[in-house]
Amino acid sequence: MSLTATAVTLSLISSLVPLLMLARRDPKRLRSSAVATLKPHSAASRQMLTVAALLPGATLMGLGYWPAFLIWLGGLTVAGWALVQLLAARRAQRQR
Amino acid sequence: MTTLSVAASSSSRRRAWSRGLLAGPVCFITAAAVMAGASLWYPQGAAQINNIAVPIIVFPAIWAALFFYLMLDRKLGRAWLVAGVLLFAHAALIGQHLLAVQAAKSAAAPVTEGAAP
Amino acid sequence: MIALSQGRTKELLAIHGWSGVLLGLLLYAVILTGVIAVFAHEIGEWSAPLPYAEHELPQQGLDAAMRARASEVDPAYVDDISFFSDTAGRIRTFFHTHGTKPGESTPTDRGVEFDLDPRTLAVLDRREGWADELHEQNLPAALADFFVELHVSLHLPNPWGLLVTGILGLAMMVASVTGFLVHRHLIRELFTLRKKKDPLLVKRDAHVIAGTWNLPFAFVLAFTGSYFSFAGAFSIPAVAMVAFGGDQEKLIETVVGVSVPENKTPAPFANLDAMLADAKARTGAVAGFVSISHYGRADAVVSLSMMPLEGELASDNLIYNGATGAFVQQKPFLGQTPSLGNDLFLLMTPLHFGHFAGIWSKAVWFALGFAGAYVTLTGMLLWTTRRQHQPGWAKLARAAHWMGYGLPLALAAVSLARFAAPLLDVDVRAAQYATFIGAALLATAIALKVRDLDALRRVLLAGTGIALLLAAPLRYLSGGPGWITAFDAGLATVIALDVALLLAGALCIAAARRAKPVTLPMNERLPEEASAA
Repeated sequence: MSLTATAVTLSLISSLVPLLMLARRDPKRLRSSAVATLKPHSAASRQMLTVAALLPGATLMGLGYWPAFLIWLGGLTVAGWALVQLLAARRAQRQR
Repeated sequence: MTTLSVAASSSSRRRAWSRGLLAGPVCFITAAAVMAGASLWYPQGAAQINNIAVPIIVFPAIWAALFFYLMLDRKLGRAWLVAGVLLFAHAALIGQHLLAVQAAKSAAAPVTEGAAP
Repeated sequence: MIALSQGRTKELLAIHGWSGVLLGLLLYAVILTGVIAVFAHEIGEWSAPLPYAEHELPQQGLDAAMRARASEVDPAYVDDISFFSDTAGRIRTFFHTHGTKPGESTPTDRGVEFDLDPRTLAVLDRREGWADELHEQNLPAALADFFVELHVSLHLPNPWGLLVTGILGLAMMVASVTGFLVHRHLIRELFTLRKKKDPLLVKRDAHVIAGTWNLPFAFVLAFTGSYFSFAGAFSIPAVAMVAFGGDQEKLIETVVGVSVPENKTPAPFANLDAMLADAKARTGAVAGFVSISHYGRADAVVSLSMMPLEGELASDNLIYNGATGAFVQQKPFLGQTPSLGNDLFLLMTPLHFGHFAGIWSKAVWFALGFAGAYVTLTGMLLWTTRRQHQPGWAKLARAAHWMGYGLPLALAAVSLARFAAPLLDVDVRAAQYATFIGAALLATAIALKVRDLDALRRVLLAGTGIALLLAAPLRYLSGGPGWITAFDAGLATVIALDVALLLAGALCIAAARRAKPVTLPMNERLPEEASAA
C-alpha cells in the first residue's frame, strides 16, 4: 500500500470514529427521532469529539501531506453525508 | 388598485430590472475589465508572471465578490456607482496602455522600415 | 454566525432558487458528465483496451521510435513533437507545426499523430490533418471524449460552449454560497434527517443535508471549473490583448516558455532516452509529458514535465538542450523561479480533476461529484414540483424530471453506440452523437406522453437500467476481452467497470420498481420562507 493510501486509511478511520460517536448522540437528531435510550452529548463532549474528528486532517496539513489531506477532507464530507443517510434509514426501519 | 400602489409596483419593477442588469451583464463586464486591467497593476513578483497568472486564476472570485456586493447593497445607486467607477478606471487604464503601445510602435516603425533590406 | 435580516434571507433564498432553476438543468448535465469524466482514463481503457495495462512512458526505446517516425513525416512537422501516455496506455505522439486553418482566424496545430504501443513501440494508428480533424479520427478515445466534451463545452462550438459552462460554474458558486447562508442554521442539524413526516420536509432535509456536507467541495469544483472554462474562452485572450497586444502565443511563451535565441542551423538531435534517464535520476520521478521544439536544429529544446512524486500534488519541468543533450535547468511550470501564480496554477488541476492519487482520489472525487449532481437535481425537483400547480411551473417540473432521469438514459445509450457502431460498420463518433440525440428525443417523447411525474421517473430510470445492463455484454460482443482474458492481462479496469455498470443498471431497475409519493402540499411554506416572510 502506498504512503498516501496508508495515510488516508488511518486518518479517515481516526476521524470517522469520533464522527460516528458525535452523530449517534447528537441532541437534535435524538430529539427529532424521540430515541429515549440514548443520552445526548453535552456541549463540552461535542466540542471534544469535533476536535478529535478534525485532528487527523490538521496533522496531514501540518506534515504538508496535501494529497492525503485533500482525500481525507473529501472522504470525510462524503462519509458524513452517507452516515446521516444510514442512521436515518436504520431508524426508519426500527420504527416500522 | 390605487394610483399610489400602481406607481409603487412599477417603481419596484424598475428597480428589479435595474438590479438584474447591474448584477448580470454589468457585473460580468466589470469583472472581466478588472481581470484584464489587473495584468497592468498587479505586482509581477520575482518570477515576473504573477500579473498574468493570478488575475486569470482568480477571475471567478472577482466576479463572485462583485456579484454579491451588487446584488445585496441596499442602495442601488451606490452599487451602480461602484461598478461604474471600477469599470471606467480599468477601461481607462487599458485604453491608456494600448495607446502608449501603439504610439511606441509607430515611433519605432520608420526605423525598422529603414533598416529593412 | 452571520446575522441576516428576514428581508435579506428572503432575497438570498430567491437568488439561490432562481440561480438553481434557471441554470440548474444545464448545470446538472455539466456535473453529471463531470462525475463520469473523473474516470475518463478508465473509460478509455475499458472501451479500447490493449492486451496489457501500461500507463507510463517507456524509459527505453522512445528515442529510436521518435527518429523512425520523424523520418517519415513532412519535415515541417518536426518543428514541434510531443509524447504522452494516452488511452489505455497508447503513446500519443504528435509531430506538428502551428498555422491557421483556411477560413479561421485563431491559430491551431497541423501535423501527424501516431498511437504507439507502449511495450513494442509499434505504430497502432496514424492520423493526419488539423488538430480538430485528428481529434475526430481518434477512435480509442471516442467514448471518453464524448463525456468529457459534454462536460467541458456541452458540445457547443468554441468559445460559446466554454462561456456557457463557465457561467454555469459561477451559478454553482452562487448557489452554494447562498445555500449555506440561507440554511446556515441547519449546521446544528448536520446529523438530522427527519423521516416519516411531511414528504416536502423529508425532501428538503435530504437536499439540505447533502448540500451542507458537500458545500466546501461544491464551491471548489465550481470555482476551478469556471476558471478552466473562462481561461480558454476569454481570460487568456483578454490578458494577451492587454499585456501582449493580442499575441496569445507570446503570452504563453513568456509565462511558460524557455527563451532560446533562434538558430536554424541543422544539428543532429541528442539521445532522448538518455535525457529521460537523467531526469529520472535527478528527480526520482518519471516524465509524464515530453515536448521537443525545433527537432534537428541547433536551437532544439526538450521540456520534460515530470509526474508528481508520492505525497506531492505537482512537480517541476526539466529543460534540456536538444542538440547536445545537456541538462539546462529545473524550473516551475510557470516562470523561471517559484511564484504565487505558479502555485495557484498547479493547484487548479488536481483540485478539479481529482486524479492526483490514482484510484483513491478519483473515487472520492466521483463521490463528491455525485453528491453535487444529487443536490442539483433534488434542489430543482424541490423548487419546481412544489410550485407545479402554479401557471408555468408544471412544465418546469416536467423538464426537471426529463433532464434528471432522461440524461442518464441518453448517456448510457452512448456507450451502447460506441460498441454497436463497429459491428454495424458505421463511424463511431457520428453514431455516438446520433444515439445521444435519438435517446434524448425518445426521453422527450416519453416526458410529453407520460402525465404522472413519478411514472415518468420510473420509465426513464428503467430505460437507463436496461442500457447500463447491456453495455458490458455489448462490449464483449464487439470484440472486447472477456473477464478471464482481462484478468490474465492485468486489465482490472475492464472487469471493475463491467461490474460497476451491471450493478448501477440493477440499482436503476430496483429504483424504477419503487413508487414514490410526489403529491406535495403546494401552498405550504418551508420554515426558512416562513421565517423570512
